[in-house]
Amino acid sequence: MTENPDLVSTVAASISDGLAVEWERIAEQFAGEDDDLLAELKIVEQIARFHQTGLPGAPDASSIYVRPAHRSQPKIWAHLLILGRIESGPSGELYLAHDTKLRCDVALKLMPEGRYPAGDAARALKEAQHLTRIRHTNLVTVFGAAEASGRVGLWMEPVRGITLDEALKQHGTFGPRDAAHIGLDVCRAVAAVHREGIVHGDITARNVMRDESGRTVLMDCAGRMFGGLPRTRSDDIYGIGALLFHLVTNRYPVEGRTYLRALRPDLPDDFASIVERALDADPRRRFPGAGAFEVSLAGLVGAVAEQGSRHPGRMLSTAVKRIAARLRRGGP
Amino acid sequence: MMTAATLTLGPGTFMADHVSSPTATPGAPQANAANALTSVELLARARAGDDDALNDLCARYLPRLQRWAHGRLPPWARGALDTHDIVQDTLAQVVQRLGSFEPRHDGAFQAYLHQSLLNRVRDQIRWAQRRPTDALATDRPDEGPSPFEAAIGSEAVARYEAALLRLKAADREAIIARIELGLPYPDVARALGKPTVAAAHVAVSRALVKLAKEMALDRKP
Repeated sequence: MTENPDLVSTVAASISDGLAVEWERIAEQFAGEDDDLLAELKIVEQIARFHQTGLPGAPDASSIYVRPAHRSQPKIWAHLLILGRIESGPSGELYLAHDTKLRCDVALKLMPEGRYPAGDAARALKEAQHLTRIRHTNLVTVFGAAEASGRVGLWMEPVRGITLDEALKQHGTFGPRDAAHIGLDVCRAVAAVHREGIVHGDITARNVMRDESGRTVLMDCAGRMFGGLPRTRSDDIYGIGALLFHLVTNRYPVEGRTYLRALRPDLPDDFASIVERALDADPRRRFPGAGAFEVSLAGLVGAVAEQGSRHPGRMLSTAVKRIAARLRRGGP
Repeated sequence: MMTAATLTLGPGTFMADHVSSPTATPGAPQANAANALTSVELLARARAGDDDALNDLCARYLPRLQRWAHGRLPPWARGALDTHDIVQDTLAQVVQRLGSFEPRHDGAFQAYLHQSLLNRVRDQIRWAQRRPTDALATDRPDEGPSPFEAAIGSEAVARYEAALLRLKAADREAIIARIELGLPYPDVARALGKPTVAAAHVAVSRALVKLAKEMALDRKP
């Protein structure tokens, strides 16, 4: 029998909403009442979170993990209200912010604090503004860029999901087909970036996310802009190859050595060959562009390559073809 | 049958109306015409040979189901098949079989799809346990748990799944739509045949309480 139906209902409502439940506070205030039911609800909450992000116990399945406010954290930058810090690193800080003009939450990337030659800041701003012109379903959408309070920043769509790095930790290595599909998506995103004359410069499993609906999203084009080493398009090709190597082996390739087949002898030959070509120590022997890389991967999985179109169109043609063929045959 | 006007749409849908700054060009919302059709409608069209409807059905479910299946399969059980193959195969079978079984609404279709995929995943695990080991294989069948069971606990998972099956169909569909598939509320409302997002929210919350009560029955003291 439920002793406190309101408590159980309230907790259930929070879980169904995807909001974090304050289990400790509930345990303190309502100890003994409905412990059994609450214990089961806690398990269901973890299940809900696992299906959303692959990470049980993460604080709030419906939002990005935001650390509590730090004293030195800015409150406002340009027209954005800063809600909390998501992470900080050598290329700058990432905040969750509220865009008062667009009236929605955004992820804000701010250049590291410090003194920079004026030319650097101007160049970074110009490149960031350039990014706002690129639209691709597999590239994080950048809404705007500006300089304010002495810092350059850009704000983009807040992607809810997990990085491929986290997916590797949670689920283990990827199979060749799954990896090839991810590679396809990343190639398309990189092709869109290269078409604008920009190099990404930081393609890693930490920088590629899988959002709530399963979409692959390449993040953080700004890594190189905010103080990284100069990179070439061929470095991006290598980066995609290294990403695929990492996904199927959970290790990083060592330059100059090809031992993918030794680590994963079960991989199909053509998949291994494609990855090895992208990782060739000689940039001239790699794929000449993301488009060529994409076409090779597409051939592997039977998908239709984008070939420079803006809108990916029917990305699931393999699945549709197979299923449609089965339906017409009428057999199992 | 509810109309789109009564559903509460998320903030992202209205972004295009708020462009004010020249540097701020919001991304286009993902909505497209196919979102207006229920999965049951898409299914009927797909079975009649409409490849566009089939494509939209795949786009709606494959990514979510792939992520779901990836968490439910232990790495050692994946073998040469990827979750891609398993999920596509299952969807194909379900689309084929659903002539005789008429889903009343999307929730029933989703529940059927979910159970079919769960069965398929279990088949895959049993197959992997029985196959002869290959001396060169790097993924040996240590028979460890799936990522899902590792995260939640095998005993809790078993209790959860048993309880889910004992619920009434409508409650089970609510749990599958929101908790398992993680659909946003407008989609949940459509799946459950609820006229508003608020009604869908109430349905899910109530189903959660019933689920917890069923699970508590099996809990070992």
